[in-house]
Amino acid sequence: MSNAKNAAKAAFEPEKTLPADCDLGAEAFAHVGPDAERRDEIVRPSISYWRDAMRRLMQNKVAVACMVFLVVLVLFALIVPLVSPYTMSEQHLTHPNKPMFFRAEDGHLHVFGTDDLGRDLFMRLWLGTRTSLYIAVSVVVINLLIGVIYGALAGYFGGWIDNIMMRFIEIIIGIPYLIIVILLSMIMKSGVTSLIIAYAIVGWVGSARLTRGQVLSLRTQEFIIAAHALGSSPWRLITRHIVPNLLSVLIVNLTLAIPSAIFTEAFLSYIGMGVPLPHPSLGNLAQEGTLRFMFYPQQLLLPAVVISLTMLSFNMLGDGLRDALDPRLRT
Amino acid sequence: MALLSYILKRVGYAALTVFFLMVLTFLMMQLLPGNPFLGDKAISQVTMDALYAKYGLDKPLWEQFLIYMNNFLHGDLGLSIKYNRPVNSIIASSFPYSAELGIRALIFAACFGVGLGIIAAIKRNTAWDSAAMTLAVIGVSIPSFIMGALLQYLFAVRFKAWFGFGLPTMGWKDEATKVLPTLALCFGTMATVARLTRTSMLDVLGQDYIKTARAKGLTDSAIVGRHALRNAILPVVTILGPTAATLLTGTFVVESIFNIPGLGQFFVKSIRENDYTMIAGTTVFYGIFLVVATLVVDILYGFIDPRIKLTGSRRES
Amino acid sequence: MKKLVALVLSLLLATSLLAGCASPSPTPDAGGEATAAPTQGQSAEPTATDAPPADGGKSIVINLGQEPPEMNTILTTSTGSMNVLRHIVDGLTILDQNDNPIPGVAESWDYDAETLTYTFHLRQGAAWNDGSPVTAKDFVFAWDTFFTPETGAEYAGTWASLFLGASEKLNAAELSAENKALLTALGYEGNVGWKAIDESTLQVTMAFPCQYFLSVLAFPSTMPVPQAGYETIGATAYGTEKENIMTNGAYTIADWVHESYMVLKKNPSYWDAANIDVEEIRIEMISDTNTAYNAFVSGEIDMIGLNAEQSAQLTSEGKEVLHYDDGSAWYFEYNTAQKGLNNKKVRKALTLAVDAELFISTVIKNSSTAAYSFVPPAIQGGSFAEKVGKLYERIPTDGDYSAVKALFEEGLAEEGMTAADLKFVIITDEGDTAAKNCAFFQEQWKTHLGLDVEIQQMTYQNRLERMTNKDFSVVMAGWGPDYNDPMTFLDLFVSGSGNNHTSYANTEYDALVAQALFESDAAKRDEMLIAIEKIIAEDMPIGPIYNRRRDYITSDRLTGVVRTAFDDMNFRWAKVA
Repeated sequence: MSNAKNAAKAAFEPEKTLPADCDLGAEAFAHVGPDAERRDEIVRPSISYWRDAMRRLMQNKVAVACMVFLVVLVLFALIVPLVSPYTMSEQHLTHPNKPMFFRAEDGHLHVFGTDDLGRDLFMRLWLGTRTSLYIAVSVVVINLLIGVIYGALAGYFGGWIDNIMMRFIEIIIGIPYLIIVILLSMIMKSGVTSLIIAYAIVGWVGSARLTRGQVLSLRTQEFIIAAHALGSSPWRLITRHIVPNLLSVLIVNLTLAIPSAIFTEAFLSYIGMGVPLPHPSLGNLAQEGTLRFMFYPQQLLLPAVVISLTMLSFNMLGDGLRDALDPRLRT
Repeated sequence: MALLSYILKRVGYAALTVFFLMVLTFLMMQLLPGNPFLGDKAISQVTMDALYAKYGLDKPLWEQFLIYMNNFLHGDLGLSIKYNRPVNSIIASSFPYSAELGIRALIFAACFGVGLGIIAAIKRNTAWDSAAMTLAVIGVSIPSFIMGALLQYLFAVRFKAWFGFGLPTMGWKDEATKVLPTLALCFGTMATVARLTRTSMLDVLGQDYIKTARAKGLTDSAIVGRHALRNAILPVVTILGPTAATLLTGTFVVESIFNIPGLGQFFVKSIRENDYTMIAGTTVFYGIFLVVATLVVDILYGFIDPRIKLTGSRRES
Repeated sequence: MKKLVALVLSLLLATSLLAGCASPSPTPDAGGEATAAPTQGQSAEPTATDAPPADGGKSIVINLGQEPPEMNTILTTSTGSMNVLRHIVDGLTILDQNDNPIPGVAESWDYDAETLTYTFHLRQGAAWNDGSPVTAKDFVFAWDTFFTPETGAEYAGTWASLFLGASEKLNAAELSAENKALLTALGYEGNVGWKAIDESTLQVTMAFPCQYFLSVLAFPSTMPVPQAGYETIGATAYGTEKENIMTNGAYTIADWVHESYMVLKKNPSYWDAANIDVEEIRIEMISDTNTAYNAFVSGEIDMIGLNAEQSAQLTSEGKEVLHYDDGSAWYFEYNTAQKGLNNKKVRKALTLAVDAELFISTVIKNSSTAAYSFVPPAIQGGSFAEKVGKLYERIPTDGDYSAVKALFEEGLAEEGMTAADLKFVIITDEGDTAAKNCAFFQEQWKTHLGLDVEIQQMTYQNRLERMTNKDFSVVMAGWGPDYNDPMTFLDLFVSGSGNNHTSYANTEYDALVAQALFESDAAKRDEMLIAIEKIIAEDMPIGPIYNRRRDYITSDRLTGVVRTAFDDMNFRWAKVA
C-alpha cells in the first residue's frame, strides 16, 4: 500500500531541475518518465454531488427502510394481480365478509378475506394499490413537467410576464377541482384517465410556484449571469443550467406530492367520484371499509394500513432525500 | 406611503383575479352535465321553460353573466336553485360553522405543529426527532374520512361502552361536540406544519448568525426563542394563508361525518345538484377568501421578515 | 364525569379561547338562540340541543338522513320534506296507520257519484299558526297555484288528471266543450273543477272516477296554503326557513338549522292534540350512516335507518330491528331504441339472467322481495300482486342459465349480433349502494350470459338528464308509488310520456291504460291492469328486479311509529315512554 502510494506520488511529482551545487550527479537518477499504467489511477474516489447524496441517503436507515418497503409494495402491486387465482370482480357470494386467511369449503383461500360481495380482498387490495400508485405517479409526473416549465419560464423572464403568469396561477387555485373532475368524467369515458387529467389541470401550480421561487433566486447567481454573458439562449439556460439546479428541490417535492395525489383520489372516492367500479383503488377500498369497519374491521384496516404506510414511506423518503440532497446539511 | 401603494396594487390584482375566476367558473358550471330542474317526475316543457325563466337561465350566457356581475357588485350572489334561498344567506349562516371549526383546527395545528417541529429540529436524529416526526407523519398518512370515523367510533361509541361516558358523536353545539371534529380536521395541517417547521428550523440553525449567537454563549432556548424561531416560522406563515382558506371555507368530509352545517357540505352538494348560483357563489366566496388570505400573509410577511421590503418585487438576495 | 372529560379535552384545544378572540361571534344560533325563541312556553328545557333523549321528557330525536330540500307543499317532491310536512300541515284528509284516508281539515264530506263531485265540510276552529282560520279558499288558492305551469310544481303533472280542468290549466290548453258544459252545470265559475262554496265548504269534481282520490287529498301537494301568508312571504321564500312556513298541523317548526337539524313542537291548539303523545321531535339530518348508527348506539338518537350490516349486528345483539315496505320497485330501464336492446328476447334474457333472490340474500340482505311482476306488493296490501301472480321464473332449476343464455343469443342473432357486439354501460347514481348493486348485476351478466358491461356512476341530476334525453343503454332506476293503486306504476310506459325513458311504444298498452283510467267496474279494471302487467312482462321495456323493504330501529322508549309506503315516517300515532 505504501509502495503504491509512493509510486503514485512520484508519478505525479514534477521533474525538478537539480541545483548546480548538488553533489549527486545527474547520472544518479534514472528518468522513469510517466508510469503508463498508473498515471490514470485515481487515489481517492472523487465524490460527485449525487453520489454523496446517495451515500448519505443510504446511511439514513429510515429512508432505506422506506425505499425497501416501496419497492416491495410496487412488486406486490405488480405481481399479485397477475398471479392471483381470482379476478378483481369475481364474486363468491357463498362466503362474503370473511376474515383474513379464510379458506372456503370449495377450497378457495382468501388471504385478506373477502368483501361483502365475496370478492377476494388480497387481489383487490393489490390491484387497488396499483391503481392508486399509477394515478399518483402519473399525476405527479405530469404536474411536475407542466409546473417546472411554467415556473421556470415565469421565474426566468420575470417582470410583467411573471406577473401575469402568477395571476393565472391564482385563478387556477381558486377553481374547485371537483367541478373539473365532474366535467371531465362526463366528457371522457374512462375514469382513471379523466381523474389524472382533472387533477393535473389544477395540481401543477404547486410545483410551478416552487420552481419559480428557485429560479428567481438562481438567476441572480454568478454562473447564470456568466452563461448569459456568453450568449446562451434562454432555452439552453433553463434546461442546462437552471433545471439541474432545481432537481433536488423537485425530487423532494415529487415524493411529497405522490401522497397528496393518493389522498385526492381517496377523497374523490369518498364522495363517489373516484375510479369507476368495480375497479378497486385504495381510496374506494378504504371508503367501503369505513362503512363496515365496526363489524369487519379488517376491511378498513387493510387498505388504511397500505395507504398509511405508503404515505409514511413517501414522506419519510422525502425527508431523507431532502436531508441528503441539501448541501447545507452535509455532515 | 410605499406600503399603501403596494397594498393598493395587490388589491387591484386581487380584484382582477377574482374577476377571471368568476368568468371561468361561470363558463365551466354551464358545461356541467345535468339539469337542476329534473326530478323523478317528468315535467312539461311549459313548466321547464318557466323555471328557466325564473332563474334567468333562458337568457344568452353573456347576458346571464352581466346580470350576475351586476348583482355581484351590489353584493347579491343570487338565489340558490335547490334551496330557493339567497346564496348570501346560505353562506352567512353556514360559513360561521366552517370558520369556527377551521380556526380551531388551524390554531391547534399551528401550535402543536410548530412545537413538534422545533423539538424534532433541536433534537435532530434522536428518538425525540423520530417520535415527533412519526406523530406528524401519521397525521398526514390517514385520510380524514378514516380519521373522522375512527375518532368518532373510539371516543364516542367505545368510550361510552367501556367507561360509561364519551364525547358526543355529532353536532356542533357545546364544547364537547367540537372536540372530535377539530381533532379530525387538524391532523393533516398539524403534520404539514411540523415538518415544515423542522426543515426550516434546521436550515436556520445552520446559519452563521446562529453560530455567532452560540459562540457568544447564548443558551439554546434563547437561540431558538429569540433568533431562530422568528426566521424558521416564515415558511409556516406562507402556507397558513392558503391553508386557512381551505380549512375555514369548509371541509366536506369532517362536516358530513359530524353532521355540521358548514359551507363544505353546501358546496359539494351544489356541484352535484347543478345548483349553478350556489356553485358560483361559493366559488367566488372561496376565491375572495383565498386571495385576501394570501394578501394578508404577504403583508404579515413583510412585518415578520426584515429582509423583505414590500415595495420592491420580492427577490431572494 | 362526562362534563369533566369534555372540559379537559376542550382545554386541550386551548385554541378555542384564541378563536373566540380572533373572530367576534363564530358561534351562530347553535346553542344560544334555540332557547331565546321558545314557542309554546316550553322554555323549561334550557339548551334542549344537547339534552339526551333519556331525560328529554316527551321529546324524541330521529334521523331524517337529509335536509328537507323544499318545505313548500306546492313544490315539494322529496320524501324527506313530505315526512316533515305531514306533521306540520294537514290536508283535507290525513292517512291513518294503515294508509286509509281519515278526516283532516275536512270533518266530513258528501260524494255524488253521478257528477263525481265531493263536497267537503271543513273543521270549525282549525287555524294557521298566525291565528287566521283555515278556510276553503286556502285550498282553492293552493290548487290554483299548483296547477299553474309557471309555478313549476313537479307533481302537478301527476295529479292534474284527477281534477276536472286541471290538465288543461296545467298545459295551457283549451277545455273541451263537454268539460266546459260540465263545469258550468256544476256551478263552477272558472275553468277548473274546484271552488269554495263558503268559508268552510269546498266543492271538488274529479275528472274520472278515481278510487284513491281521498288519499291524494292527504298528499302534501294538495295541502292548503293561505294566500295572505304565502304572498307576504313570497312564493320563492315560502318554505325555506322556519318562519317562512304557514302551518296548521299537529306540530309547528320551532327551529331549523339547515343541513343539521330541525325541531318540531307539538301544536297545543291542534284539534287532535289530546291524542298526540310526542311533545317534541328533533329531526337530525345525518347523511353518514356510520354517524347515525354511532349516535343510536350511544343513545343520542331514538330512530335511525339501518344498512344490512348494522341490522345484522343489532339483531345479533338481541335488539328488535323493524322493517317496512317503502313501496318502491327497482328495475332496469332498457333503451329500446338501441340496437340489440330493441329485441325483447335480449331484454328478457338480461332481466332473467340476474338471480334476484341471490341479490336480495347477499347484497340487499333484508326482507326485500324479488320481483316477479312490476307492481310491488305494497300496492293494495299485496292483493293486486297476488292476482297477477308470478309472470316469469327467476331462477332456473339447478342454477342452470343455459336456457336464458340461449334466449339471449337467439335475440341477438335476430339482430345480427353476438354477445361481443353488445357493448353498453349501465348508468347509476353515485354512492356505495348503487355501486354494489351494479357490480352484482355486472358479474351476473358476465357469468350467466358471457356479456361484459361497464358501470358508470354519475350525479343524480346527470343521470336524470341522460334518461330524459334517452342518452343511455341501461339504467338502474326505482319508482315509488304516489297513490295506492297499481296505476301509479302501470301508466309509466305510455308512449311519449315524460316518465317513459325507454322509448317503448305499444298501442295496445296505451289503449289499455286509457281504458282502465275511466273504468269504474273494479273487476273489469283489474282485468285490464293485469293485462297491462302481462304486456310489460312480455315486452320487458324494463326488467323488474326487486321490491324494496327497509330496516330501521327505534329506541326502547319509542313505539308506534308509522312507516308505510305512503307515509314514510309519521310520529302522530307514536308513544314515547
